[in-house]
Amino acid sequence: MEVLQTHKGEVKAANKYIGKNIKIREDVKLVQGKGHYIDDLELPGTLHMAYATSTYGHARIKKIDTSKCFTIPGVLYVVTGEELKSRLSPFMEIATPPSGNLRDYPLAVDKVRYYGEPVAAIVATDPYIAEDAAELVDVEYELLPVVLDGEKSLEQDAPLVHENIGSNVVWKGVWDLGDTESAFDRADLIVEDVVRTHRYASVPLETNGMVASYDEGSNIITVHSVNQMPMFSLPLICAALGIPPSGFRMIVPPNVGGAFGGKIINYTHITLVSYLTRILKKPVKYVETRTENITFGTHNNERIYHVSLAARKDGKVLGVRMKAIDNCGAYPRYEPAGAVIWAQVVPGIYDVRDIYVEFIQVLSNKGPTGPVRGYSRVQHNFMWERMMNALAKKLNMDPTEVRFKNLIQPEKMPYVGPSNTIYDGGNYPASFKRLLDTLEYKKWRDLQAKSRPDGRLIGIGVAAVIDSGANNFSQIKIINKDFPASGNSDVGMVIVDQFGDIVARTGTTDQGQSHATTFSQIVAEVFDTDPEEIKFQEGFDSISNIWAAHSGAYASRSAVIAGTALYYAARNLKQKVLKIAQSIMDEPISDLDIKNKEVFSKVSGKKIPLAKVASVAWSDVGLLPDGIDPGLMSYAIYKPDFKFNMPDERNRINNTLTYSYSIHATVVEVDPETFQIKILKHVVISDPGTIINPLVVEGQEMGATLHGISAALSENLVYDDDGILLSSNFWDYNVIGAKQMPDLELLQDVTRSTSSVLGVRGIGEGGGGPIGSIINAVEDAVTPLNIKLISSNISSYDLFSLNRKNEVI
Amino acid sequence: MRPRPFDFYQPTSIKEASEILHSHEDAKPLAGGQSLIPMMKLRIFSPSEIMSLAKIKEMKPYISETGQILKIGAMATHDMIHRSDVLRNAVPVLSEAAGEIADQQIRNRGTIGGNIAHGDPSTNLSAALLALDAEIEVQGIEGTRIIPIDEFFLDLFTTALDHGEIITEFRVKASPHTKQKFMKVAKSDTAFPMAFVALNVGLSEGFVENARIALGVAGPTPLRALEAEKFLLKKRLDSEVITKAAQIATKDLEPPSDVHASEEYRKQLLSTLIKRGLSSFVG
Amino acid sequence: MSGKQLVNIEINGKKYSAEVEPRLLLVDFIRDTAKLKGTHIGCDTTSCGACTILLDGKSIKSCTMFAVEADGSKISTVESLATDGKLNILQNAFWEHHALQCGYCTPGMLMSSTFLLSRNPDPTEEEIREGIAGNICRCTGYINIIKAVKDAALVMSAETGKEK
Repeated sequence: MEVLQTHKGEVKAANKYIGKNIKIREDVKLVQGKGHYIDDLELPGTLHMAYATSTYGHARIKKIDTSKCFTIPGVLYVVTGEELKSRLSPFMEIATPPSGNLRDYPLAVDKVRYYGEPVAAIVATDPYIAEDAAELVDVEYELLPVVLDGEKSLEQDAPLVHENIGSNVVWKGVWDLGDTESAFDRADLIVEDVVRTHRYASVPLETNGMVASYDEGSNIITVHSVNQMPMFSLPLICAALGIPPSGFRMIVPPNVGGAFGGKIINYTHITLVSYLTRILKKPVKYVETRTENITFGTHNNERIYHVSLAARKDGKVLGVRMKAIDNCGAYPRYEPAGAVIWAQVVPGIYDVRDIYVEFIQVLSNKGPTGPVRGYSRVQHNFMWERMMNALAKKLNMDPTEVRFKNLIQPEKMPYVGPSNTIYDGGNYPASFKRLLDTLEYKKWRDLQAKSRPDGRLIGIGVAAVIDSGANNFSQIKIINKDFPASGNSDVGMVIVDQFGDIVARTGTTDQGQSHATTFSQIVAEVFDTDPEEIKFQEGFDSISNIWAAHSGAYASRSAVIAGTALYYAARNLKQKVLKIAQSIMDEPISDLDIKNKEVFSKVSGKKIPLAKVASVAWSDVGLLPDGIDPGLMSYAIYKPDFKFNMPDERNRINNTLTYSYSIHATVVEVDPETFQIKILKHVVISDPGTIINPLVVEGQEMGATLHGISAALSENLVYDDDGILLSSNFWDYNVIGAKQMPDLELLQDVTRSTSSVLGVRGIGEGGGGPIGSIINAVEDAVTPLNIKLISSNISSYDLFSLNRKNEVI
Repeated sequence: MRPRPFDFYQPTSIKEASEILHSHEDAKPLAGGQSLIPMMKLRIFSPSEIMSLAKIKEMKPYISETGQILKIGAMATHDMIHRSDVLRNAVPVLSEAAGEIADQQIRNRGTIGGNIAHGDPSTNLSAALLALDAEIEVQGIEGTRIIPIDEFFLDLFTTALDHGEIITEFRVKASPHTKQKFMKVAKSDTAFPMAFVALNVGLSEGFVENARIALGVAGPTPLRALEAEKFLLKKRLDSEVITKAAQIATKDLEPPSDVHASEEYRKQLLSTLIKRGLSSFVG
Repeated sequence: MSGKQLVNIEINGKKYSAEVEPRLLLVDFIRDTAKLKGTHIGCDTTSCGACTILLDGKSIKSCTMFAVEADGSKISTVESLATDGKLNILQNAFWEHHALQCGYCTPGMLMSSTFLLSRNPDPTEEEIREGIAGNICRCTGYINIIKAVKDAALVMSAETGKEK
């Protein structure tokens, strides 16, 4: 049994509730359809907003005529960018000038910069009417040339997405770590390659939605929204609206239908409905259609890596140089954060210290990017996994052998990487070996060799990735040293109420991570009381609930940061309970403990219910001992120490608190005629650190694996040469279903995190492990056809086309 | 997304329905709506008048057997067709094709009549009915007529139905002794198929007696591979013949290109499916 | 006939009647007229199945039917499954196997699975995958859902055995 041991060396008895497979309490209401999602909210008199969107990828808006909209009864208001330009401030940009000068509003101003960009918003009494009117917005466009590819956007004569910043560059920076010159001098061979990651999206099943209402009396705008980073978004929204945070209340409903990063940059819509409710004095609701969600609801960064890798002939990598060009679409909304977030996993899972990275983020006429499960690290992890395979190929070595040569060894843990990331434990080689044994790697290699003469195309691929969690916002200072956020923090509150019930709250939001269950387990552990007995208050409210400025559910941070805050709050409250009980029971505090909502003496066996202590603490306060304030309410805000808290002159910083890893192994078979790809076996091993609830951890791992498989084999946002998005709904943007999802074998090698208080690692994003293992497996399968893969997405159609190209040559 | 407004008619007899269609040029019949309603929601297609077939008393869903002829009411759902024992035994290709339409919910609601009237080259049933040489009974203001399936599909989303006519019944000959197969390639159940084929081949002592090969997403309409069918006659289905037939069937095709598959790739898929289907009939 | 039309629909044993535009989608009738919010909307293209309900016993996507077409029919939604807050066998199996995370697809998954089990009390894994092929889940990877349906089938057959 595991021990709940804090990094300060404090030891508690074996865990009783943390680590238990406790059924998820949230599930009970959700299986009855009793969740409260944003679209379920019906404020009296609610009006509905719909967008008219751009039908071009890049065009000057010559004229917008909205007069026809008003021919439909029920249409109350139509707003365009022209109006917003004079009434709102452009959104704050993370980047410094020149790109920091670009002007971003909730609606297109002067020109449209990507297909599907909102150009006008209609407010009507009914969502059907709003959509009818949206069709009647008449826009006169002057077409402009589009730039879609990241590298092309850097060319001298490339069309400018935002003219006023003089180029398409959002940000560029250099990481010059170790001594690559010497590494390349010592190398036996250099492998050069290009690795591309494709554009896909999170597509949570519930799209973005928000309802804004305005109270004239108090001059407060209240927004209910699915935003997963409410206190990051709030200042952006308030600044755009020109109101103080005290005039803006942000509420996130208890149930959000998934997010996976895709519910952060929705602040543009929140700003707009807030603007409109203040004018119309009625609640205004907007819920994205699926088409809108796929078009602008957050795309993943497309990235091109040009990599040179220096190695010894035994497979040891000595150093690596790369230039990365990251395409963030038309507006950097959470960007250019992605231009530094990849650096959480600079060396991947490998012991490579001499690394040089030139990173450029550029604009294009595509939809805006932002966090998508595994944000910015998926791309970098994928690059490593492709390069490892490229090296193996060049050396004619087995790709697993090359990886064994380079994995960080367990005795080096905690491992301070070349950019000062502190990998917090784990035994990578042992896990990798266990994974290969479970897969029956050798058996599959034999079958592959044996079946090739019959024309069967079987392939095996592996990918090892770091899944970093609990981010350090200071890394954004690499981009902008004046950016007013650093570190990370969250808050926990525990109350023993008047009846003796234990009630917990945190500042996080929840999009399906089962916080009520897992957080209750943490509090239950401290109070040695059945988690069922711990009440948890769900939902986020910037006015009536607790929060820290970093609160939210993103970057796999909730368990690590909010969980720790809650642990501290519970511990502090327990002390207060015991202090009061000491005077009631007249026994020394050292003899007292709590179990099952009773305070008991370990010596006399005497016990009193928590309710008794609560009654004294809250109402019978005359009985309180001197120096003890009334109430049983404890509030703790936790700010982790990242050790390397701030970036140095070489951009070195410990970017996150925990570094989980996972290794995926996939066996695929490619049909030699139809080129359809079938997964025959998929095994995953990971180290999530101390597990609070195995059901939740496994659930996250399976979900992250689904996202990776779907991204690698199916999901692809395809634009034509004119910048028109061809895959804007589920007919053409295909997420995998139950028939495409393979069975998974999940393995865990659990070690405590050496960095987090509870030993927990942030997990859930998954690092994009399956993408690498699948692409590597597919390439391995089609070895006899001599097909080279470059992208993180492969379809049967692509394989056909690549094969056809070979035939022609 | 939600559809544009429309006027709605709910006739209770075929006569009334024909009259409505006759006097309302824009009226579009609505059966299960599984093709029509999504297009209306996306506002790709927005008829100003919709005429529901749901309450027409003569148009209750049915599947019946009269001697060698199987009759399927136009309002029979894909699910009914897929699960009908009669059809599974007599015309398995139709049953298989129906079972591979989209998903269970769509099969529960979508009808064979609506599916075929849509004139879409990517509907499974069109290929199966072509392979079975089906007859389509239609009724209009001037009475009833029979349209052989070979004459039904004219162009993309265009059929031999006159405005005012409604499909009322499909008839296929029971052919329990022929070899039949429906095969399809699609990325997922929510995606449009990349290619599919429906095969119906009569064999006598190993030699092809008759063959009908129907191709889906192979051109603007559901198509038959007429030359390949002819080529197969009186031949033994060995691998050389099969390969040749697949080649003939696809060589002059011009399937559509889209984000899921190019013309060339679709041809390759169709050819492979034909090969595999025919091969499954021998050995 | 233009203008609104009176429709009567029985949902979970309760009759609802309202004058509606012919274009009103059944899902909007369920959510906005009957105020039953358990049935969800997740796409525009009849793909995701979040709106799945039973219409006269058969699973359909309520986003792809006009409310006027459902006049006179009987509908069951997710709200009909539990009795007085007591989960039925299928719901309980979803809970037991954590066959959900955000819960947004869950009502549709449950209704598709309910239909599947109503006609196939002992489905194979393949039949379960086919049975929920019209329902998209973005959280779970489907694996726990498949387990839950399989398990529910076992429990149901054990209970039927007991009754005999």
